[in-house]
Amino acid sequence: MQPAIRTPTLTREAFAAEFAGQRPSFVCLAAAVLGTRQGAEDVVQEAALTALGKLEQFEPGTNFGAWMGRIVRWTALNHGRARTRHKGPALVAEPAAPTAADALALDFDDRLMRALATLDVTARAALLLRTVLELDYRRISALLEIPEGTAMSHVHRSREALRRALSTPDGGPGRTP
Amino acid sequence: MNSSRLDLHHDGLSTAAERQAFERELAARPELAAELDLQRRIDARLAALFAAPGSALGPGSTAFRARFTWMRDVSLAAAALLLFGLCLDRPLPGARAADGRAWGPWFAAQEREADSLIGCAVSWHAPAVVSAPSNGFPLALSAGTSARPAHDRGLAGTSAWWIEWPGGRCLVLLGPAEGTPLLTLAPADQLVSATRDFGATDACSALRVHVLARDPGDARAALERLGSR
Repeated sequence: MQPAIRTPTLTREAFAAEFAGQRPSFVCLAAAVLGTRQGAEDVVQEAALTALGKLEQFEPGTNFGAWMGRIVRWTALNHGRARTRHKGPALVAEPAAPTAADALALDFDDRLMRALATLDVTARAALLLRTVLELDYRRISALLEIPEGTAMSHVHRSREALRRALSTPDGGPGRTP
Repeated sequence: MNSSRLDLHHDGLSTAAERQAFERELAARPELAAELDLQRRIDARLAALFAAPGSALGPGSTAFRARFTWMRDVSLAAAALLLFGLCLDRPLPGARAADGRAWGPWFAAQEREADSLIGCAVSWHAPAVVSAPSNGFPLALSAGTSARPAHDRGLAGTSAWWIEWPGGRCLVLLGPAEGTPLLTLAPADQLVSATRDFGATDACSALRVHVLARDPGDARAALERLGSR
């Protein structure tokens, strides 16, 4: 008996269109996993090439964002592990442009990034997708493959944790950058 | 303060009645207003730290919408077009040959910026072929590559441009030899700093280099020539 030949369920054209439409979400997701914006686009590019080689694994009728988001997360996690092995944890504030290099702002950013690093990856991703891209909770839940209520809960708890961390006497809400 | 109420308000998910009640509470309780201010400041900084470089993505919804400026649209469209072209297994519009010369209109505007990069060479390990369609526009991707600055050795006759790529802004190096179709694409965020300071080995070592050539064999040969210089 001849083995069944699986035909691609997602054409390359459809992939390109879907990918281009959701690319900002994937970049943000990669940044959330990496803990830094640096290298996120590289991860997404690599994830896209991986996905292109696995188009037959996409199940029609399922959510493209969830499938691609999974590949992005895996790719980013691998990059994150490699980066940690070579350079230590990535979650530090990236150098700001000199024009914006105000000492208090940098201090705020450093403490913000440290607090962000204490969140787990899924919570951090949910928070950043909501905050940076203003995605609704339905899309966040699809991208992260978690229930919508869980996505909302992650965002709320993450916000609370960050506010708590940044409300300390050495730089509470009253300080302005 | 019930922080979930603050979040609902902040997300714009509260009802009109809840919003009015919350705003009354805000006016009466300065500490609540301070907490909301802090949340807004956190959001603004997160947006600034994690938004795409060069985009107008900012702290508020107005700034968020502003990222869809024509420049952003153009770069996204270009990125989509490039990926779409690869996906279709046929040359990109205007890219009848992989040697990059047909991309002239794209690159010409960037050429001045690239002038300072000419002479910057990197080396690659053997590339792995990701896709090799039969239309004369195969894509070879260098897998697990590392790159290092080699400006001291230089590349006579090499030209370089910046373009937009799905992975971001990239450097394109055109192969030095006539008849050696070669485009190398590298993520630009690391390379920008590398080119400002050729001693930035760490930045260069993070490069991931993509090679486009008519034939995977050509790509390998060209890479080997480049790498051995």
